[in-house]
Amino acid sequence: MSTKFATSILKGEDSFNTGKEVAKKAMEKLGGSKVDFVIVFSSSKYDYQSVVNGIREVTGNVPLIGCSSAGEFTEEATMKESVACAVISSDTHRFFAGLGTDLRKDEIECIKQATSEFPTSVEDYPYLSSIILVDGLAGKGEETVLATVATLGPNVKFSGGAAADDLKFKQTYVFCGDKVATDACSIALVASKIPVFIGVKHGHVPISPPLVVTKADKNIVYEINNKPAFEIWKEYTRESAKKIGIDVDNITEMEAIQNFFTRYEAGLLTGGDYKIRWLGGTTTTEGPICFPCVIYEGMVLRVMESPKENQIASAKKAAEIALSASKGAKLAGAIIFDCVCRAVILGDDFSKAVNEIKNVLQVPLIGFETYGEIAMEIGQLSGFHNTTTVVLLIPE
Amino acid sequence: MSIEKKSINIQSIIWMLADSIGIEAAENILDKSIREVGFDRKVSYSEEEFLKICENLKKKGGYIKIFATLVASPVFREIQYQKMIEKEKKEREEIETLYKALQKSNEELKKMQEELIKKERLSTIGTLSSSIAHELRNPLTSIKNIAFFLKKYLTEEKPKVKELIELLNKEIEVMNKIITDLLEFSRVTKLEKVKISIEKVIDEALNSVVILEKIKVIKEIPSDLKEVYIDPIRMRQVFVNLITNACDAMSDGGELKIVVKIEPAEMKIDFSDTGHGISKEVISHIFEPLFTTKAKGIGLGLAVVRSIIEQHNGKITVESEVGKGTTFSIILPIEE
Repeated sequence: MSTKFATSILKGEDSFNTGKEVAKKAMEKLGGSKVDFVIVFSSSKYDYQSVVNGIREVTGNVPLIGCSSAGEFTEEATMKESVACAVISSDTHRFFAGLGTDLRKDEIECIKQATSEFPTSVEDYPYLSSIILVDGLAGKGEETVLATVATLGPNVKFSGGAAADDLKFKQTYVFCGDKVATDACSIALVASKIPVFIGVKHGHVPISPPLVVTKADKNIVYEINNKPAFEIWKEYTRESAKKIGIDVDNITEMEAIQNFFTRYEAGLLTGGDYKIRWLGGTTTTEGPICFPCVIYEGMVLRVMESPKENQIASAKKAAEIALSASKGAKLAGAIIFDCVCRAVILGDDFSKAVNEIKNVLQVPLIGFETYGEIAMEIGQLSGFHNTTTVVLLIPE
Repeated sequence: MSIEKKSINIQSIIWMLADSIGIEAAENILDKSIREVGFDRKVSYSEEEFLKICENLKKKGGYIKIFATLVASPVFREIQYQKMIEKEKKEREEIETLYKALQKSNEELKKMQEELIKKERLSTIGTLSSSIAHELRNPLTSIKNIAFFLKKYLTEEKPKVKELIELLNKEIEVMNKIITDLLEFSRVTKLEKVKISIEKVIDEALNSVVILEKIKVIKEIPSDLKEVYIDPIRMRQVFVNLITNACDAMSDGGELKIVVKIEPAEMKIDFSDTGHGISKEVISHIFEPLFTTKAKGIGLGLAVVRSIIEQHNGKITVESEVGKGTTFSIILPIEE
């Protein structure tokens, strides 16, 4: 036996029973093999603790990570208000999971707490990777990833996502073992006989010249080019937004503001591409713009946009990049971290993007719509993305 | 390029920080931090200098503090060093591959250039030869006539003059052959095939060439040989060329053997001599236009021979051994 990866997804009324049923369905596909690891993504419709309890009744006390989401999908279906579950049985991978709390207060301590029981190495399993699920509203995406690198060491590959809550922006949760927590992170360490493979891609292009952040505090940008941040954004998106029916001078409702910022995000010019930064945490048109991670004064942004077709193409590309990295290795399954912004842009066509990924990979997959994505190869020092598709391939 | 393990490349650190805060901000923050500890901006820093910069960076707190802690750690820097080594190795291999591809392209280009020059020369010869040949033929005819009259009027009393006139006639024939070869080479002639006995054409060719008495001519031609469809004038020219070459190779005498064999659907005609033979280095070039090892002629004779044979859908091959002799074999299809 090598690795088996089985998934299921369903909606229900009762949180506990929904958790129990979704785990049962996934376990049936394992054909009696022992479960070694569980992944679960749940809509905010459910009581998360009850969902986790229901799952644990079926799977037992094996390492489990998961989080609240803004949409769930497997190779079978793309859904809202559902619970998706993946179970893995493997003798080529070993799994460890940990929970860290008080993320906003001190991300380093939070990570140390989550990783305190992790081994530094596992005999006969030389390749290390980590899946990080982090509170999506804590505004500490980049710091959390870097703190995890600092704690686990630079020989680890990272992937993951920021928990979401169906675009309510109230509270997000992560799950670990039999616990659920907010203002927290849930981290899995995977020690493997063969490495995992990661693909990352976004579908944005710049539509403004470079814009300098002239006043900022942590993740709030007050001024860009010495003008109120929101005014600058309106200036460079006015014409383009008009074409898709958005009047930037008359956005008042929070939903409309977030929709606007989902379509016109910020881009940071990095090594050879742009890193996308979502501004969807903004709740006012008064001036400041809220980012999911720290923004320093002096940082240079561009206003970015991404047409629908780019979003579908970039999802496919992310899968192709991961597949290419696998160099023909036999694959067991995939975990997809896909930004909710892309689902907002794509609307009903989001399932097309998932199908593109499915068609490329041809393996069981589980994924959720995130408030941020994490992907970092060994030797890199930045791994937090927005409006991006991250594909993690688990080899057999 | 070698990497000093103990020195830290600041640009690579900037690129790493740029991945999360952008290039402009990364350069700004690191440059500021470098200046604050009293250093100048350089490409690389010693380990001691770099650790001092990192300590200063940590004071900024937050993300930058974590970043600085990480890049300062020996484990991380060892990984970076290994990655740089791998990158260098990959770049070197890529350069080597590109260099080899470039070398190969250069060689192919050179070969093509040589081919092109050759083709241009041949094309030029083709273009010019017709008009030049006709231009040369006129004065050559005059020279030949003059030689005839000189012989008639002068040689009876002056044997030395006779000798010179004989030499003159020979040179005129050489020039004539060159002109004929040039014209033949430049001409695109349609074959005028007739049904004819190959023995007849061979005999006509033998009669056209002055063969020294010390050269023995042997013919082995089946008596029941059928007639073949060939252009007799062009084929006679082929045989004249081959017989002449064979005689030239046997200046001290020898044997010229002409053998005709009938094989299914084919006729094979061998012209063998016992002359000086052709070396391995030369033999692969002898059918090339303008290739010659002789002091006289411009090397078109065998090119013309091959051209005529190929026009008959036949082929010609050569075997030779230095000091022993040469055999040219013509294979012609038998057309019904």
